[in-house]
This record gives sequence, C-alpha cells and structure tokens, in this order.
Amino acid sequence: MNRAFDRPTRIFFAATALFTIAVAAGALRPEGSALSVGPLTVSLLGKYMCLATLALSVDLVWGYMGVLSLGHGAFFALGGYAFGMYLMRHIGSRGVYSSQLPDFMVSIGWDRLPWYWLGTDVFAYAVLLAAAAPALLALAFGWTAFRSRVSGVYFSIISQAMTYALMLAFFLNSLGFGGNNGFTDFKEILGFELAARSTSTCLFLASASLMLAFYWACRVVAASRLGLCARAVRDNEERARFAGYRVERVKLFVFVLSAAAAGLAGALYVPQAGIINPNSFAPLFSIEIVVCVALGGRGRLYGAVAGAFLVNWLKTALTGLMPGAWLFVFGLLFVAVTVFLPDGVAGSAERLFGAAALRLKGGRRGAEAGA
Amino acid sequence: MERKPGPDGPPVDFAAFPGGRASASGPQGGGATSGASEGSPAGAPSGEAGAATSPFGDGWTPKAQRRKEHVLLLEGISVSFDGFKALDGLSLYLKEGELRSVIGPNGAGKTTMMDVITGSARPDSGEAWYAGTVNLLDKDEVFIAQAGVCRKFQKPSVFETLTVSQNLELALKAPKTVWSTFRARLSGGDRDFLAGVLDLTRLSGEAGTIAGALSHGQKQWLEIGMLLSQKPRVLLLDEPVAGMTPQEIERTAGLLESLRGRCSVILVEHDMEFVRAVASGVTVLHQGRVLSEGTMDEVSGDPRVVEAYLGGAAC
Repeated sequence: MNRAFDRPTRIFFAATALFTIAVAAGALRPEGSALSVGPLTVSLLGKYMCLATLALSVDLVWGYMGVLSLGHGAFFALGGYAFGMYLMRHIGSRGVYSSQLPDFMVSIGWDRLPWYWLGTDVFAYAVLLAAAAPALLALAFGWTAFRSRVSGVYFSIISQAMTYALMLAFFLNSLGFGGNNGFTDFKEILGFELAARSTSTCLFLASASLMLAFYWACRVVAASRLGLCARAVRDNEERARFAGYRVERVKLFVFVLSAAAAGLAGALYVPQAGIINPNSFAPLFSIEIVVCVALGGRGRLYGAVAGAFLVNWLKTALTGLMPGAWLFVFGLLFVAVTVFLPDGVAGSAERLFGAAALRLKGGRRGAEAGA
Repeated sequence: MERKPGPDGPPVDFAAFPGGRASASGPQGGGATSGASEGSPAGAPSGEAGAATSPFGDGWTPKAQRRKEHVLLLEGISVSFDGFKALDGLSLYLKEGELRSVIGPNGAGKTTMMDVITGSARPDSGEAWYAGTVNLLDKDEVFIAQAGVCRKFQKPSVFETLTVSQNLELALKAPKTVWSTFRARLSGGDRDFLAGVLDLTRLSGEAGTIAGALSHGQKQWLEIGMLLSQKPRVLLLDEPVAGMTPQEIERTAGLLESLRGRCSVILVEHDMEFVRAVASGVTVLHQGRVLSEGTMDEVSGDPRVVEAYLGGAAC
C-alpha cells in the first residue's frame, strides 16, 4: 500500500491532522481565552469537512474517470435525510405537539410512522442507511446510464435531471420527509445534547476523520490498477473496452463507492447544520461542488479539498457581508476557473513549484559542472 | 439479396482455396486432432473421406472441419446500414500463424469486417467463428478481446495521460473483473514480459513517458505493443503505418515480421509498398466481397483488381 501513501498524500495527511488537532484543542479551551475556537467556527469547519468529502467523491468520478456528475448533491442530501430521520426520532416528545411522532407528521394528520421510518431510531441502522440509500440510487442510475453507454454531457444532464426530480419529490408533504420544511429542531445524537460544545467538537472530529478515511480510500483505489483503468476510461473508453475491461462495471463500481461516501458526508453534515430540506437537492448545490473541484484542480484529491474549503469560506464570508452578491461572484468564479485555471489552483501551484524546482535543479547541476 | 449465379461464383471459388491447402496437411494434423479431441463420431471419418470422395471436388471440406482448421473463419457475412451493403456475403479464412493483408478501395468494407470480427457490428447473415469453437456473433467486444482477438484502430488510440508502461500494464492479459483489477500487482514475470514488449516496439527508452507526448509513429507502436501485451491469438491491424515516415514504416514491417508464427495477423492497409514488404497473402475486398486472393503479384495482375482500383478508366 506504499504506492497509495505517496508524498503529496503524506503532506496532506500531516497538514490536515495538525489543523484538526489545533481546532479541537482550541475548542476545548474556555471561550474568550487565547487560541480558543468558538462553537460556531467549529461546526462551520465541520461542515466544510463534510463538503470536502463530497468534493472528493466528485473528484473520484470526474477527475479520475471523466464522468461529470452534476447531481452528486442528491447522494449527499439522501444521506442527510437518512440520518435526519434518526435525529428526528430522537427529538422524542420534546416537539411542539409533544408526540412521539415528528411534528410534521402530526400536522399532516398521520397517526403512525410509515414503514420506511421503521428502525431509523437505531443509530447503526441510520448510518448504514445513509450510505446504502445513495449507493442503491447510484447503482440503479449508473447501471441504466452506463449500460446504455450514456456519457459525456448527456450523462451530466440526466444526472442533473435526477437531482431536480428528487428535489420536487421531497417537496411533497405526502412523501413523509417533512415537505418544504424538511427536518430541523434536532435535540440529541447518541444521547448527547447537540447544543453542547463538546458535541460539536466531536462532530467536527468525526467529519475530519471521515474526510481523511475517504481520502485514503480514494488513494488506494487510484493507486491500484483499477485506478489506472478509471483514468484509461477517461482517456479513451473504446480502447479500454478493447483492452478487455467491462467499462460499465468499472464506472459503476467507482460511481457507487463515490455515492456512498457522499451519503455519509451528508449524514454528518445534517447534525452540524441543524437542518436538511429539499433545497439540498437543488442542482445549484451540485454545481457548486463541481466548481469546488474545478477551482481546486481535479484528479488530485487534495485539490478538491482545497477547493471545497476555499469556495465555501468565500460563500460564508460573502453571505455575511452582502447576501445578494454570492450568486454573481459564484458565476464569475465559474467562468474564471474555466478560462484562466483549467487545471485549478493546485495545477497552477504544481506548475509554479515544478518550474521552480527545475530551475533549482538546473542551477545546482550548473554549479556542479562549474566545480 | 439478389442471388444470381454470377455473384455466387467467387465465394464458391474461394471456399476451395483454404480447403485445398487444408487437404495437404489434413491427413497428418487434422486427422489426429479430430480423432482425439473432438467427440463427434462422424467428424473424423467424414473429414478424411469427404476430402477424398467429395462430390464438390478435391478442395471441399465439411463446415466443422473448416472451422477447426482456421483460427478465424468468416462465411457469407452480410452487413447493411440503411440499405447500403457494407459487406455482401464476405468469406475469409485465416490459419493459425498466418499473416494476411486485406486491401481494397475506400468503402470496400475493410473496417466493417473488423467490426464484425470484434463484435462491434452485428451482421444480417453469415457465420463467424474463432478458434473453432467461439461463435463471434453472439459475443460482445469485451469477451472477444479477452479471448485473444485484439484490434488496433485506424487512429492511434492509446491512453494519453498514462505513461507508456502504464498503458502496457493495463493491456496485459489478466483476469479483468473489477475486483481482480483492483487487487492486481505486476509480478516479476509480468515485468519481464512487458520489458520484452517495450523492446519489440522500440519503446524501452520511453517507458516512463506520458503517452500523449509520443510521436505519431511511436503511438502506433505503443498501440501495437498494447495488443501484444494482451497475448493475442489473432491481431487485427487497421492501417498501422498511416502517417508514418518511411523509416518508421520499415521498422514496422520488421515488427510484423518478428510476429510471424507468434500469432495470426489480419492487416488492413492502403500502403501497397508496405503490403509488398511484409510479403503475405493478400485478399482484395471490393464492394463488400472478396474480389481476388493470392500473393501481391498475383492480385495486382488480376484485371478485376485493376478495374476496381482504377474504375476501369485507365485500363
């Protein structure tokens, strides 16, 4: 497994671990003291970690395999809803109606849980569901699309149609997922108060761990011959097929793996955001993630993480300053990345460092020759 | 569609060609194998008796026998696209280890023939058999590729962002399911084998180069190298020397020469000098059927071939 743990990966892991430990240590310090990190910042960073995991999952299918999914937000949202069911169940009778049923069910006159809510009060099952539901959707969607050799821009368009259709479906009250309002007002997770500072710190740590674990999984896949095969599919699908690979199965495997990870990221995102509603299925969200990957530099993994932090930090900052400006800035960013940074920030940085390293090496060689 | 006695002539003629050669080796090779391996009781005796006492003459052999004697067999293949007949009752027989050049003017059906063999196009009628037992018409591209029929495209197609050795590693003959690909590691034997392929295709110095940075000729070689990594039994080469310099063409001829005996090759080519240089049996296709067959000198002396190429005007 040494091939997977190459130098950029080691640097990335070391940097992320340091950052995570620093934030967690800061969160443990009393508020107001030096180097302390407030609970809002902690959960903000935790959300960024989840979005970075989602960006990684997009990078895996797009950067490595050339399959541009404009509907990856659907897997994230589905995972979020699956875990949201657990959180809703554990509000218990503390809701407005003091019923064991979630409030929105009482308000639409339901007197018992629908069958698909069964067992969602069990933590392990909810986590499993958060990974399995998106994975199953990806399996069905990918199987149909890849088998009929739908690729390129056509795949992107139908993936976007998929997430849009799901958004419309989740707006329906009768679907049993809270309709317009979605899930909110969560109280506890595994018996711990969500409002507690220690809980948000733990959620942040869990988010960072998930991101690193998935990063590691991506590296292992990318460094294997299967990873080579995925890149081969990106370069020349026909050649890969004639080299003897069942291209649609390779695509399906990677796509499902990516969707499951996106679902888990969504599951961790929801308790930190405190809400999930059908807007997470909006195509715009999926496009934001794609822009994160493009801005960071695709096919590198760390590029996707950097892009996710950069774009979402920008979004947070701008929405605070000028709420209306974000969409315009986002649009400009989209165009600018496409025109000026086709390889993303990471690509440009690599070229810069590469040139510098080459000059350094050249200089040294020149000096040796002189001596 | 219209079966007149005239157009029926060439296929019958042609069927005699491989049969005639087969009857020479039939009594020793064919008789022994058919008795031992093939379970059909009628096969062996009728094969030998058929060759001797056939009402159709000396060259005639039963279908099963023909299938067994050729690594690749196409019989009466017809393919039409929207009424246009790309192949019209094409028959082609390729022996183990044979190098066969297929030439013909544009639109003669050469690429469609390759498509049929590799499973990319389904014929309206006819039969296609590989290695005597594999019915190519009900297998898909991936199965056929894994079974050892490997194809080089007209346009060099390599994995441009991967290195030369990664290209070869991917092509390497191995179990190619998702899981076994994930678990796959290069063994020492694999490395030696790939080094041999690199050597053969003169790419040893470029093993670490990104394929996209290779010259056009080197890409063509890399693609041939990828086919060799697949350890093919039948190699289909679609215009491998297109766009090459004269020196590169010469080297490619040498490369094909070194493959002689290792696998069977069908070479589709426009470059007549190159076909002459590799000195193989030549099949001329015209309007989806076999027009002439023989050595390069024989077919270029055939008035029908001259007419097909020059449209009769220059005769």
